Amino acid sequence: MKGSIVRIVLIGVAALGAAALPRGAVIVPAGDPAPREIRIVVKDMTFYVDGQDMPNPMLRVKAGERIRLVLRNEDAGMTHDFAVASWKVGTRALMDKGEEDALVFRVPYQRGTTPYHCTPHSEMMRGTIQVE
Amino acid sequence: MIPFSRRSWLRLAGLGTAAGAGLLSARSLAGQAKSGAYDAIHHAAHAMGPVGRVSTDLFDPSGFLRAWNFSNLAPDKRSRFYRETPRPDGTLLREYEIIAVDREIEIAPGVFFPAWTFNGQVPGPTLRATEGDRVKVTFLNQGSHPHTIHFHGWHPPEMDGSLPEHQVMPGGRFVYEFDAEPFGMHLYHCHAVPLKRHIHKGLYGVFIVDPKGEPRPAADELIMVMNGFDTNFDADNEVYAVNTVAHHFMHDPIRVQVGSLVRMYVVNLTEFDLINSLHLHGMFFDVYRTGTSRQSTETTDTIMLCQGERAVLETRFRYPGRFMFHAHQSEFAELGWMGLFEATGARRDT
Amino acid sequence: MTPETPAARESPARLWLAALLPLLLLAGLLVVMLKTMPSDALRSDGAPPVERLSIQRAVLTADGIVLSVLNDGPDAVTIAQVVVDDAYWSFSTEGGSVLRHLGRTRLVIPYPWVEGEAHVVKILTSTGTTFEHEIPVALRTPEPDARHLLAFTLIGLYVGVIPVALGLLWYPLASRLGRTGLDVLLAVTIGLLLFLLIDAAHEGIEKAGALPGSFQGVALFVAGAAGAYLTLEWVGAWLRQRRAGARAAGSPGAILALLVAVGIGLHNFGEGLAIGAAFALGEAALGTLLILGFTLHNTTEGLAIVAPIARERPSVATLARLGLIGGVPTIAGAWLGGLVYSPVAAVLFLGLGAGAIAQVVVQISRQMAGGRPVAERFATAPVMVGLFAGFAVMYGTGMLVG
Repeated sequence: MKGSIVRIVLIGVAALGAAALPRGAVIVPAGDPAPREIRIVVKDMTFYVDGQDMPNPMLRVKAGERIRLVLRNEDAGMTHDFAVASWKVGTRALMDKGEEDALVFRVPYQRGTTPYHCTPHSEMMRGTIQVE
Repeated sequence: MIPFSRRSWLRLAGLGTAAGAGLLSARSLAGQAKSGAYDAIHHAAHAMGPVGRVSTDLFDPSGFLRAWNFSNLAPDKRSRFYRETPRPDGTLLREYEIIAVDREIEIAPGVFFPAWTFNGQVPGPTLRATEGDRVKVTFLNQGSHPHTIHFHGWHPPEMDGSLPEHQVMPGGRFVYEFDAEPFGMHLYHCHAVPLKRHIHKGLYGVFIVDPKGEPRPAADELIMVMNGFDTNFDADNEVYAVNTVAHHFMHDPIRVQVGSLVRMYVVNLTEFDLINSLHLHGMFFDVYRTGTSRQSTETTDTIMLCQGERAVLETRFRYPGRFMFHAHQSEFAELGWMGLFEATGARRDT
Repeated sequence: MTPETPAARESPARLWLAALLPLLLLAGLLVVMLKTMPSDALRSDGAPPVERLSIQRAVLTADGIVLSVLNDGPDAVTIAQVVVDDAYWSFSTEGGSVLRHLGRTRLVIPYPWVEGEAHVVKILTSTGTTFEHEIPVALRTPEPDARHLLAFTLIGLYVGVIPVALGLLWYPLASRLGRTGLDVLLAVTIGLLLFLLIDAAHEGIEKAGALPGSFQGVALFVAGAAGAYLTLEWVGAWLRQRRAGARAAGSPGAILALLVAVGIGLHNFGEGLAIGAAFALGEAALGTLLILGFTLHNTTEGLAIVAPIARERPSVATLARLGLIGGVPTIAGAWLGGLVYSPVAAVLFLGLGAGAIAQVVVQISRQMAGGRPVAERFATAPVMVGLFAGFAVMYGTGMLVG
């Protein structure tokens, strides 16, 4: 009896723990320095670095660097996201004006360039990430 | 409503009446209800119309009136969507970038419609060329369904954007290229199937071809697209408007000058209803059907247009003040297709 | 095998733990679900919310139309515009325009409605979904006051008390009938009650279907009916037991008459609710002849009450008491329906009435059968004629009112 109660508690806690895992989280080891933040804004179906005018700009990052990419949607009524297909990372789709999502990831060690895009508007909202 | 069987409420009615025969008169209740029931609401005619305002940040129906070839954009942004290059024969090559995108738009205060749009707006951007110009439209489909652009006007069959092989898949591109002719007031719309849905979801716009040689007389020119929205998808429109937003011009009248020539480019892009109309209060206008002739065909104050039909209307305001214009189908008018002109300047009797 | 049950060996604390553990885990699971919303995984991004508004009541006042609206769907709904007879109309809300699950609001629409004509009010939500409410005949909605209490009392008297009392006047006739005559009379009663049962079930299920889904109208109706049936069964057994203790020879007829009166009373309460509500909702049109139909129709209810006690010698007071039990609830129902109408309560009470009548039908059948199989007892010409006659009378008088 006692053993069975303990088992039930363990199963229950495990189930809760599994259910409580946030969706799509990238688990980052503790103790790392704070990631570098890049703020991207979508306006008129175009990516901009927050505060800059260059449309769909090239983003420069360092190999192995930890990045916290914050995407803000300024296009009312349109759904946008930010995805890097080759690294299999992306924000969730932002539907409302002013909505934000953050993406934390570690840049792969391979140098070179890789494209980023908005999934629903990949033909006009796309740019390049340069890994240095 | 709480559906009482006919029996139960008739039953009650009988009883009420019978009760009236006794100690108190049910009729007196009814009578009391009758007296003065309408005093307050009879003065509430101004209560007609929707509550609140639609934000014009995204799309301003008033700005749409007087914008073509992306003239509403700053030069650097405009060049992304529109470029003109002179050609040896004196005509222009006009290059456009048109993008189909899904967007939720506000069509009446607080009512959002999941539209399919050209360049994020309904109606799509107005294209305007001169007869003989070369028009080159790069179409990029960033929507969730196959789309096309079908222009009204002379063009070869492969530029028609109507047959199954003309469909541009999501993520795909197509370049439409043709000479602008004949001069007149035309339109463009998506011709993917089901046609009705692709049009009523918002994939349409105005295509004006100006006559070459001597232009039309200078005028205050207004683009007016009569459209409707079926918000609950029952093949019946819940919202009617000119330039998308219900009752917009009731709050923001179209400002014109007394005595100046006003030219309206009017097209009916309403789905589900066979016809639509425009009625202008307090004056008459000259009609140029489809705008393909320099000779006016009639002078009237009410013009009826079938789906896809259009006309150029010209008038001069005689009196300063506000003049209503609306569909003469009262239902359309009260569901949003109603607006005001506001004329300023000294009165001119002719 | 030990004779002790496992529970007997456990300490109470452990038993409590065993009982509460699943509940604690369930609570934890609910918290996790609320935090992570697993259903979002099933809904794609941008899927429109499930919108369901129930328009519960339209009140027509001197200032226009007042709609009571309930959000019956799982998601929040934002009321964006109101369209009356195909025209956008201004409105104000008492309770806001954003409704959560089971949230309520009232829309005050200054619309110049026209007496005696039909109007259609349509609500447009922020997603463009529409919900319609038809006002079939526009009449100013009476506001409840002392005058209306009096009116509802009169209505109750006419539909409930007086017809039942008139029916009771058949007692002298019923008491002179022979064995066969009494059987026929009881059979007529069963016919009458069966009609009422069908009527109540029909109205109850129909109203249940119109209730917002969250209230699960049919389940409510069935629960009401089953509850009333079993309660009356229990009350009947208790009364018989008490009488058996008090006197050697009980009076099954008196108990039966009481049960019939209670059943009819519950039924009439439901009727009163519907009547009061219809009056309050302004769904009443005027028709002077109908009262005759009602008096005829409901008079037969009194007959149903006296039939079981035809062989006994009830006092006038007993008869009066039975009549009041059967009739007075109509007045209470009319008050309740007219002053604080709730369609949920109406379904519940119609269910109670249906259950009560069903129990009474079974009870009378048992008494008539006297231990023999019911079908055998009923398969005689006089009883069949009586059954049919009872049903036919109700059907015929019912036509007068509907």
